[in-house]
Amino acid sequence: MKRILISDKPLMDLTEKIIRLLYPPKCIFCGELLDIDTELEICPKCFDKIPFMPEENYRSLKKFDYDSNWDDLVCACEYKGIIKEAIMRYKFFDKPSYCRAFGHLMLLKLSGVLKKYDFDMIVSVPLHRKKKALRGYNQSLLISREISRKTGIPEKSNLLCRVKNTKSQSTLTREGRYFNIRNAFLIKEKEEIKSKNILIFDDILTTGYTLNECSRVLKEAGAEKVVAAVIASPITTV
Amino acid sequence: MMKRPLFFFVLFYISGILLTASFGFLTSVLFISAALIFALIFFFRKTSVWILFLSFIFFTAGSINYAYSTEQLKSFYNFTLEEAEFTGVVVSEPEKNERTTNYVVEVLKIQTRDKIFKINKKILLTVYLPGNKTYPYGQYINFTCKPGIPEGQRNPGGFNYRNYLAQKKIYATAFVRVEDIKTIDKTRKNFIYAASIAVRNRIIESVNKYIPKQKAALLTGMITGYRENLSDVITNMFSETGLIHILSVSGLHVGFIILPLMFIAKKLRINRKFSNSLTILLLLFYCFITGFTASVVRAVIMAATVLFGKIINREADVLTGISFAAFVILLYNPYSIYNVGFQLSFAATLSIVIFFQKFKTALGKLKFPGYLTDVVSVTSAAQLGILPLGVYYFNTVSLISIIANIIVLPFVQIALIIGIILIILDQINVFAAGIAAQIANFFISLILYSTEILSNLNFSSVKIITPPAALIILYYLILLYLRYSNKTFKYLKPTGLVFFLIYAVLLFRLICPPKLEVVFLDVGEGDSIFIKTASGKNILIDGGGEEGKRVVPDFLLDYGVWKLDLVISTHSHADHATGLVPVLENFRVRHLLLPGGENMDNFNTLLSCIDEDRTTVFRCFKGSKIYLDDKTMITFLNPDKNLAYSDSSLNNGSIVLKFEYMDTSILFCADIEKEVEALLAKNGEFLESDIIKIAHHGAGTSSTELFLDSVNPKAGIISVGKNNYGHPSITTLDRLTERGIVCLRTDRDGAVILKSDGKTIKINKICTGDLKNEY
Repeated sequence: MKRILISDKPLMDLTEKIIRLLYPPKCIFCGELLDIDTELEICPKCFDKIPFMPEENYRSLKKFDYDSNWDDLVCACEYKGIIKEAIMRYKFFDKPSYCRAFGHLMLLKLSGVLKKYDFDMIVSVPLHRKKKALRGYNQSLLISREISRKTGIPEKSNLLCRVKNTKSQSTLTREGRYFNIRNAFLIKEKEEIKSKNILIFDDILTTGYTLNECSRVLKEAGAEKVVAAVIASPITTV
Repeated sequence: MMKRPLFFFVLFYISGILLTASFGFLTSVLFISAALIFALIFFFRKTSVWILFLSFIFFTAGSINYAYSTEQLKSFYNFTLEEAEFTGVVVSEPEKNERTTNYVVEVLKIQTRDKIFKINKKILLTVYLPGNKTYPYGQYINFTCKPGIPEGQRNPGGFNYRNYLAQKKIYATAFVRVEDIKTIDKTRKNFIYAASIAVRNRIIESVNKYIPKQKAALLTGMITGYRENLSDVITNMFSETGLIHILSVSGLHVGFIILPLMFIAKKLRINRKFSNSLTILLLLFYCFITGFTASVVRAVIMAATVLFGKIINREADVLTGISFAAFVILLYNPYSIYNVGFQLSFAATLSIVIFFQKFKTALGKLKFPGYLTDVVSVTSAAQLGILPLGVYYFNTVSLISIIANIIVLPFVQIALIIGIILIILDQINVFAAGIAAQIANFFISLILYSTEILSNLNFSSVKIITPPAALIILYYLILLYLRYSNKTFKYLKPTGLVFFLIYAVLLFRLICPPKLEVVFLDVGEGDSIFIKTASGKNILIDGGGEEGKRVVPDFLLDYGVWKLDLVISTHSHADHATGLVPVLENFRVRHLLLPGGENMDNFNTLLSCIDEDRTTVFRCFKGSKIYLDDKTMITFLNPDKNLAYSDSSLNNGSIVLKFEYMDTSILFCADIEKEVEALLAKNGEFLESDIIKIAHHGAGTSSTELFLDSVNPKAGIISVGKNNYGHPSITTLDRLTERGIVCLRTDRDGAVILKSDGKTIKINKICTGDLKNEY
């Protein structure tokens, strides 16, 4: 796949330049330093190794065994290989700096839906307060902020909040996950949601229950269209 | 360069400083401008224009900053001529010595007889016989004195006090009796600095409560980096075993602060951005406690870069962090580049970053246990980087540092942790603190005990002469080559490198053939002259007095001399012979030459310290000749075999020699007086020389007009220092001026260095470093 650059503004603003002087960009996969004015924090070698998910595969993901509440789904990669390793480091080994590269990867796949829907806001699946304190950051929020920064769509993750400190989905069975996540989310200001087109973002999609639950509450609050986007999914076909 | 621009920018900044230091501001800025234009023309690529431009900016910034700091050195020049009244504020803790107390005072106002000057520059105030009087931090004081400008470098390889103080932004010294200081009822304190002093004193107090004095000094030294109370014996012990780094606060300590804090913050589930910010602030405060030494500032900046990166979601790059730390330190004071601690700290850290992984993988293959692998790799990597610096500054190499570190480092880590716990406990519960103190005491004793055993080993360290700067640079280049040979210099094969080096050395020899070098050392009042002939023979004429005992051996080591082919003691007077004692004891001397006319008993001290198997003693008279090689010859002109010299006229019995190298000649007159001069003048033509070492420190009873006319030199060198004899006398100086003889004096010019290629002689003097005259 060819590298596509979404942003056609080669001129970075001054603060970004100064920050990059002190924190030179590195490839998130192999750690190799990259040119200071690089658009993407992934080196060309690693870029070729990324297991992008073909569009027809994630189209088929939409047909879950339950009624999905989202109107569309975008999944950037397959959850395997270097992507899996990088996401693990991103989530569990204190590497918040990966958010920019993941945001960029996500954007590469989002161009289709961005043209199709006129999004009013981006939200990300929230982390519970306690879990965020433990990790220090919300991995999905960082990426959705990144997408917001590049697309100009406002980021309003604070509208959605997690009221149940659920167990980690990844430790549970399929059935457990479904009940674990039910009623875990709440909309703060329903007025803001009403008849809006919303892009909801999460890092990994396994069963789809989490995103489905979020989409449900958003729809119930009156959202017009809800499009779900994830970095990776271990499911290739259903 | 596109990948790690800050690293290169800082290199440019440092180059700016170094180039300005050696060639002056204008030359370096012209040079870099030319280089920029060149680069713009030939390497013009759209993407890298701003990088080129920024490189230029960084270089110029370094240049300007250094030039500005050099101007600062002159802050007090105008006030050294007469007494003035100084008003200022104490900005340091008192540093107590036996009979004096030192303070750093920021001078705010100087009142001379007719004018008031506002200024805010620091001065080092030495209070003589202070009794119990101290002036606390922040106290305004007023004193009358004539400030002195600290001495610059006097001899090659000698200590540069002016530079040393400039590293702390101190530009003058004042020596005042306690009666002459008035306190003003006014204070000015920096809250954070005052708090850090309080914390430091509290630490010292806490530790001293439980642990005996010397051990307490070691522990507080390890925690705060202040080693004033530590005895020299212990300090030397650590430096001989390559463990001195545990006494300077650095990355190890910063790690001990960060890791527990991070752990607690995580357990308490404190917001990470908040805990990171708090840690950064605490580290800054630790800088205050430890007095902003280069190593701690470096470690703190590097750690803060990582922590701040986590706050703004960026991954830090170690090399960039190091460069940033260097940049901050050198931005505050470019003179820090001369700071030995700065150089050692950065060399060690860089070297660890570059080589640690290599060592670790190599040792991993040998199936070393985990702890050993890490310590050995870190220590070896650090040693690789600081080895040449250690030799350059201290002339020692520790042979057991790796073993010493493996043994002692774990004790140090435990002692540090328990020491910190002890200090915290002392604020809460005396009993618990007492228990912690017992444990700490045990580990401190272990550290001292094992270090003592290690330092007592005969082979623990070796003395080495200072290598030439080119060799040190070569060493680093080879290191880098070995590290990156498989990547960057792919096409440069090792064999090719060797041939290239040999070729380069031959070419260098061809372009600059070896020269005769003569150094008139500044040993205060006294003579000491070192000669290195073009064929590499080393000759020392006299060693000066008490000051020479320190200066001459230091100089010889620095000049790369460990064996002397000939040592000449012109006569037995203390200001000529005393300094030869350590030379004869510690250096390999092949021949010792004494004046024939003098009673041998006068030389008993000298003769008692020579090893007769190694050194042969000769006595010489007028007419003796030594052929050093086919182009170099020494002819002795005094003492005369036919004359008797009494002990009261030792000066007249001193050795006079004419040194000839091809077409150039130098006459060394020792301390002869007018009687001998008259005798010598009869010799006529042979006396004629290009350079003369003026007899008897420029005394008026020597250097008669007749004698000077017969020698007919172009330049005269006077070895002289502070004295009560009126040396050099005005009549002598006048006689030299009348004859148009250029006069150089070691008291004003520092050491004087002559270089002769056999046709012309070039004269350099240390104090300005400028090339002055050429014949």
